[in-house]
Amino acid sequence: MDIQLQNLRKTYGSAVAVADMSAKIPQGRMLALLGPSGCGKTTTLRMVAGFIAPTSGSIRVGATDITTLPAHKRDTGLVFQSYALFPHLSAAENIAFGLRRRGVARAEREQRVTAMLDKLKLSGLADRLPRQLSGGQQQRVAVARALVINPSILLLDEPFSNLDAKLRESTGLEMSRLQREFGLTSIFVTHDQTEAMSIADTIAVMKDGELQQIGSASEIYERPANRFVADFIGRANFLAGRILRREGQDAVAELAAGLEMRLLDPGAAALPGAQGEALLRPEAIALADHASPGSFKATVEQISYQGAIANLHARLADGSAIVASVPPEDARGLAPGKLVGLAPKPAALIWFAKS
Amino acid sequence: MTISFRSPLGFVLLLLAVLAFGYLLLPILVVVAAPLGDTGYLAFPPRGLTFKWYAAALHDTRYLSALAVSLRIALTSALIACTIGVAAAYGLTRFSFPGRRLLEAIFLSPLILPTLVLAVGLTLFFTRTGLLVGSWKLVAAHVIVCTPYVLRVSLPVLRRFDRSLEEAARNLGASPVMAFFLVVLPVVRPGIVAGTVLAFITSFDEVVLALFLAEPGAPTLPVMIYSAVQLGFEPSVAAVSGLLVLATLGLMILYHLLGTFGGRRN
Repeated sequence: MDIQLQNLRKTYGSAVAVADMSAKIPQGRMLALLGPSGCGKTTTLRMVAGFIAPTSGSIRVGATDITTLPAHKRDTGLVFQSYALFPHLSAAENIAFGLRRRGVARAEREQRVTAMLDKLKLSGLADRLPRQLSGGQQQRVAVARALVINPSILLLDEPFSNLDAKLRESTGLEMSRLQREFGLTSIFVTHDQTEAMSIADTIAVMKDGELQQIGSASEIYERPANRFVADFIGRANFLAGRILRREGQDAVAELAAGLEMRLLDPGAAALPGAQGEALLRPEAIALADHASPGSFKATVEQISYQGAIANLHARLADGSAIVASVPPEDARGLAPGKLVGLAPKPAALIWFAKS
Repeated sequence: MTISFRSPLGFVLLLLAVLAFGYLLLPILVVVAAPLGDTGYLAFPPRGLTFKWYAAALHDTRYLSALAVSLRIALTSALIACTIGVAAAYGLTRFSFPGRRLLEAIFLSPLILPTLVLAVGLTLFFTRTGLLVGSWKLVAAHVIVCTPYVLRVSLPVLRRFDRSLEEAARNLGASPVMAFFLVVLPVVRPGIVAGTVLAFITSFDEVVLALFLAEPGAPTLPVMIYSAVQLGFEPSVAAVSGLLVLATLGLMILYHLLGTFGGRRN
């Protein structure tokens, strides 16, 4: 079923934990709530789970308003960050817990638990207590326990943060596969933008309780709504500048003390004289000769090879640092101290007016 | 840090430990062994070997009925103290409200209140009001002194309890009450059992309140032993004490087994 959050708000005294959060998640899709700690993402998730009562606003699942429904009557499956497995119950009993509460008959219960154990590669571990399982196995039991009740909403609270990096990626993809297979509408809380981008259909970026931007991974990466989003998602260079003149929809700005650059559709507020910053992603920079027109003159400070790319750390004439990700073969022959030209690729510059 | 017993410091520590345990345990050995002597009065080390004092103690109906009274009162008191103590500990750890610290201090205060003061106060109170009758007076008194033991042990256990477990239970469809009984209670059970055993032992062992509040015709075992010792120290009294020591030992072993194996499954 689809989920609709409408002007969801939670305040503690004068502190605003979540301010007017609105989002719509279509049936079978996954929304990632992404942001630094304290941004209100977990509070939002806990409001959907029913552990926190919203100050105002509403939560709808399908046509039903569940805003005031107690947690145990909501049909949600939640995977906790700490997994929260019942330490006194075996893996199978943990998974069966929700089925028992729903009064599922013994035969069907056992069959569904076994099927879920198989699906999550846990067969053979059914009788183990949580403390006898590895972190990855515990995580899978937690997922199985949430999935087996066939919830109308799946909630994931940083479910991979306690796994090591390698396991995290494969588990994330597996989770995404299961979520699609079960056709579950999901909300996924994370502070890891790579995780959010790789498994969520839609990403809601939050900061200080406020929704900053909501959209697909590519929308958020390519057209960030503000400087915070641009900075939080991926790597970003910000070049201070000033608008010189308008040219129709576009504008020409002076960036990083000296270079005139064309900005595509920077918005109506970008009037001549306005101060601001231009976003330039490291991979949207091409290496050029330092004398070539339309490129920033920069002094190479450090080159770090990453295999598929090389990151070029350089300093511009106005003293600001810049990072360019270039093909390793382009960086060959460069050394610290060398003067290079850094040319922004077409339409790579995004203007943020000074607030 | 580990200290080898071969080092001089380690040797001194070992010696001190042996002396301390000897000092603590030797009187118990005397109590258990002395009634084995065939002298007609208590002597240690016992001379001769007879089980007749133990047999006499086991066949003395006064002791047996006093034991029954003590067990009944200790069990009732411990169960009531367990219920009140766990409920109080849950409330004190789960909710924050004004006066919470004060309430916790009040709940724990019987631990520091002299028992004699409580005994006199309760005797006057029950005489005036006639509120409780029979053995319930003593049960009520013991509940007052036993509850702090349950609370003392349950509070830290419940404070450490991971609340997300309770939330997980609710998320899976358990009402708050069900979540408490299906998840909270089983997880914190070792602590609660320990507190209840402590409460049981406290009540079973208690003599001051029992002297004041026990039914005239039905003294508890400690009261019975106390009066027997005052009348004349015959070996059967020591034999009763010896039996109690053995019973306690059995209880400790049982508790240890429950704690080790009982905590695994519900």
